Amino acid sequence: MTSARLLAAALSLVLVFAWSQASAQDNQRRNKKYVATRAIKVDQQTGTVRLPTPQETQDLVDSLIEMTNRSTDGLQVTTLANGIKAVNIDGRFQSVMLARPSEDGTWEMKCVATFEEATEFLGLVEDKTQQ
Amino acid sequence: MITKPVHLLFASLLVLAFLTTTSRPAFAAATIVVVNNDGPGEGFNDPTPAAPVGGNTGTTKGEQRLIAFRHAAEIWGATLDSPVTIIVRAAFDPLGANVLGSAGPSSVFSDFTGLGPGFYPGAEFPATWYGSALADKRAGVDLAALEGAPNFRDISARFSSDFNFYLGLDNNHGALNDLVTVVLHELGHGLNFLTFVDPSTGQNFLGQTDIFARHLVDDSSGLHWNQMTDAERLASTTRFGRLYWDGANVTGDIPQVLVFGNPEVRVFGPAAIAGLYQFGTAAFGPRIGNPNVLALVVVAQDAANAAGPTTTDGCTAFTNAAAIAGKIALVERGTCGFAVKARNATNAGASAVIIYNNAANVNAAPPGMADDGVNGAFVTIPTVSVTRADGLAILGQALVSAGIDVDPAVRAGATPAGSARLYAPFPVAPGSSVSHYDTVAFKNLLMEPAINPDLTHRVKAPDDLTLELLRDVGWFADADLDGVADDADCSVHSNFAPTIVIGEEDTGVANILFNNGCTTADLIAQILGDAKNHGEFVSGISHLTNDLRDAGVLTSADKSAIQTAAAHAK
Repeated sequence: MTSARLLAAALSLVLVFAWSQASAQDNQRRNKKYVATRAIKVDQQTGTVRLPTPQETQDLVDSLIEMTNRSTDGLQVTTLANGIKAVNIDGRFQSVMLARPSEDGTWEMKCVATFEEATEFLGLVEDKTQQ
Repeated sequence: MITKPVHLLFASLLVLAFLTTTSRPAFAAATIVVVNNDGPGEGFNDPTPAAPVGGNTGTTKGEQRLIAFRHAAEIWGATLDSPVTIIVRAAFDPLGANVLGSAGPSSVFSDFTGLGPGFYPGAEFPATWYGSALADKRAGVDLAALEGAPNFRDISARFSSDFNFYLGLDNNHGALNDLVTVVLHELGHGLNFLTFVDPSTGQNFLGQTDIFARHLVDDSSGLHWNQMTDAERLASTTRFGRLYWDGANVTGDIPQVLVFGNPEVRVFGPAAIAGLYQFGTAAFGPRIGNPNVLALVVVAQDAANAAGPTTTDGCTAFTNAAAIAGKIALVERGTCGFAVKARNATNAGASAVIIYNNAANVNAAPPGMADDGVNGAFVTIPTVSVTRADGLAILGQALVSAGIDVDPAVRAGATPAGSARLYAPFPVAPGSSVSHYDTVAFKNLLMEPAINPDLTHRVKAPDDLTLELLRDVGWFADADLDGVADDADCSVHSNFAPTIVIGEEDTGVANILFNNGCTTADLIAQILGDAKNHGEFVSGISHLTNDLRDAGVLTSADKSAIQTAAAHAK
């Protein structure tokens, strides 16, 4: 096996290792409860805008935690023989486009990079009464 | 006789590196392949019948999604140049209606050199991260292949199958949200319109700066982000109006794109709180600048009652209308709608109104303020919102003078010196994105954090500044894919035939590419173009080939073959 293939294999292992680890920050967020303060769900039947249910809120929070993952936990730099450094970050450091309904029936969009920006835009706040 | 400039041109070439040419396309662009990562029956493969819309000829919802996605990829492909195919792995998943999609580079590289056939420059700076697609372009090869993973995706993208996007290709989206525009935006991030710095901590990604961060400058210190400590970078992420882009391509094209007239909320004094303030705008009343307002700020007082429990919420008629008249009214957010407060300020004779966030929104950004459908029509003064911290800062001072105006000497979205502002809002919590242009930019830009409905599908000046920023981070124009940037290339569309052909005669001599972007065939073509007659052409070829032989580029036999073919050519 060439050194390049060995490095590729190592990279794959690093990636698997990385995915198996959730960052400490993500774990903290997953352990918190969030409540919706803004009507961001549009009822398919009536077209009216409503608050998300607790389950919808939790699903949304889980999704945002995953999509705004900017942790470097578990990521490793691979240095190739010619000095090139490489890091597989697949799935992290994503820019996430969000949408919330406006009063006029249109959707307002915003691209965010962090969980905090996402929750602020969607009106999701930590439920401190449940902590 | 050979012309002097050509001769001198070639004399300078002799010290340059050269390579044997390989076949290349005459006009390059970049090939972006969208890999459908959806399973049967979902996402791009959703079989739900769909009527053709806006030039999208797909007959199922899935097919239309794929066509629209590929259309956006083709726009980028036609705009950029790269010798390496850019692979986008994409899927439509049930993300809900509030998460439209995401994208980003799949891997990053640093400390790579030019490796491809040609003269690719490699990384511009050492110890600097580049997204995969950009790194490949500058290396001239698929860097993932060096790791034994050829054709590894460069960009990963997921979009929501729950959201009702407009799937036409003509941007005629009406009240819907245009998928092509959203994909253009997200692919822009995947192509390196982003920093890898952690905005929550200011830390570089794995200890190294990135090429985007190298162009970010905070004018409060004059430092680039790669020159800052983590703490300095963290502070810089929230310096509204102070973070700008120093790339020459963006700065150079700003006059084509951004109009004069920068809306601003500025406190002139007292000095302790003077400066530009981040603000939100209202969907009712006149726009900022209609008219410009420069006045003292007065805290509005109203009755604490059922309509509004505090004396600062502005929910009922102001009790200090005489003091408010002609001044800028300062009102606290909460209890009643923004339009109610602004209407009450209008009734009190205020010249403008500033609504600051209440305690319930202590860490929130200044909100965009919607109309309630009733009161907005009665508002005749400009209305802006500010953060709670800024509102309390104003509240805590006496004789605050402020301007809610449009600065006619500054372009919307640029600094007074003419550089593009990046989005650095007050954080809602630690963490705010700087990987966008500022929202005050006008024309509206593709890479603002919000997707504005008036965006076109064009990504460069005079319509937009996205391509210019990508040029600044390293996506240099290279129409013939020789690795030499067009603005330094002695032949932008080089002849890469493997052997030198003159007239009908193939000399069999290898065609050489020099590191200034010309091939031997290009030089021969230039001599032909400059020659007034056949004699001058033959003479020019003689000079050229003699020089090439002396430099060791050609053998004597090669030289003779070319000179003979030139003599035969008529």
